[in-house]
Amino acid sequence: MRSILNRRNVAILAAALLIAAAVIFAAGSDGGPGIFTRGLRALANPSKRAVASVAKTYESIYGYMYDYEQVVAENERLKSELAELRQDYREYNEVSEENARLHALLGLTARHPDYAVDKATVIQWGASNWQSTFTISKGSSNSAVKRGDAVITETGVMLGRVSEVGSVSSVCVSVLDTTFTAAVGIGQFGAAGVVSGDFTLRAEGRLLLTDITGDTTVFSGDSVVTSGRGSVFPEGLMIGTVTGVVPAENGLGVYAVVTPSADLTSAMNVFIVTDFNPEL
Amino acid sequence: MNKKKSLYRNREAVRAAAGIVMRLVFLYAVYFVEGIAAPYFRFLPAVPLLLPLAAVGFAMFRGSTQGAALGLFAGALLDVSLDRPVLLFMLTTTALCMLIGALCETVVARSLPAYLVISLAVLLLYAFMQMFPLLFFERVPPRALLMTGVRQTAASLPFALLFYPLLRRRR
Repeated sequence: MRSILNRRNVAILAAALLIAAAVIFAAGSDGGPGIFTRGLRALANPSKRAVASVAKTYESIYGYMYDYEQVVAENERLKSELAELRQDYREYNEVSEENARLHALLGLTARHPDYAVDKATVIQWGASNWQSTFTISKGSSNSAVKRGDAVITETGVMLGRVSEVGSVSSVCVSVLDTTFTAAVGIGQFGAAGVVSGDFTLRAEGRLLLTDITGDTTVFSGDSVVTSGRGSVFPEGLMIGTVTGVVPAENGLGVYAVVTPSADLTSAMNVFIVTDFNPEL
Repeated sequence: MNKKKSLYRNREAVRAAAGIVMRLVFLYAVYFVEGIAAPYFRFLPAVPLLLPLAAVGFAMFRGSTQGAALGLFAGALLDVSLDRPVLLFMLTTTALCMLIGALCETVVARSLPAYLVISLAVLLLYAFMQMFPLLFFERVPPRALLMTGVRQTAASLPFALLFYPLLRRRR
């Protein structure tokens, strides 16, 4: 006890009590902190500002680092979500397009209930410069496809016929090939003829229409559709449109040039008419 | 000593087998470009015939036996790429490569001009074989067929310059 209450300690205690008393008595009449408090605070202000500045800098760095990591994580999450949404959108588009094709096919099969139709994909376009062929994804093991079957689009436009049937794929000749022929009806007034591929016209993407019979004249713009004669192809499949009528070289009759309706450069999804009733 | 010899023979056999596999893979890659990718190259005047060029190159620089074997494979792939039954071009390419290999082993020089001349002759022959049924059975005008043959040959021959450095044997 004596060691604590030595002269020095007592002097310090007394000074503290004096300062406290002075602060109490020196407090402003408005209840403010008083002159001593203001003075001490003014002395402490620079230090406070320095410490506050350092703390602020530290907080901003920490906040930046912490927020940066959060932003990076959120960016990755959003990228992943975006990739999933894009995939969903692509699948939606594919399903939507297939839906439209099947709707169109439904219209075709509604008009022709006797058609037995099988879906296929064009997997390869022919590499020959002398033939116009393509390969489809159906063969004897996964379809009822057989040689001679018509290959059409969902709207009933003819692309060609099956020429060779493999086990999982089949080779088809397009309407432009020189080995393709079909009996057709022309226009609205009962003219008939035979459409066939021509080597010279093939380079221009056109067909030849010959053996035109009937009492009416053929005009540019007339539609050319399969007539069903001979029961080779179903009736009513659109082949193309007459784009030119030329007198025959021997002077007897005319022949015509037909532009096919099928897009033979980009058709991908096709249908095979595996069976039909020729009497309908 | 016997062990060294047998090891050497084994290594040589493995190297030879690997070489054959590489050549078959090369031919399949050529088939892929010609039969699957080239129909989409619409900037070319015609779809080029590349498999005969590759087969002829192998026959020139590898001899008649290897040339015939690789020509058989190349000809079969050519028939497949042209949507034909595997018969005509398989037999033709095999026989041609055997003949070319034998000629190059004896009288014909194994050089770039010789390769180009032989390639041109083979391309013209193949064009004629392809136009034959159209000319005689379907009575297609010869002029149209000749133009197609010329376009096909013109589209194919430049690829011989590409194949030559790949196929020639470096001594």
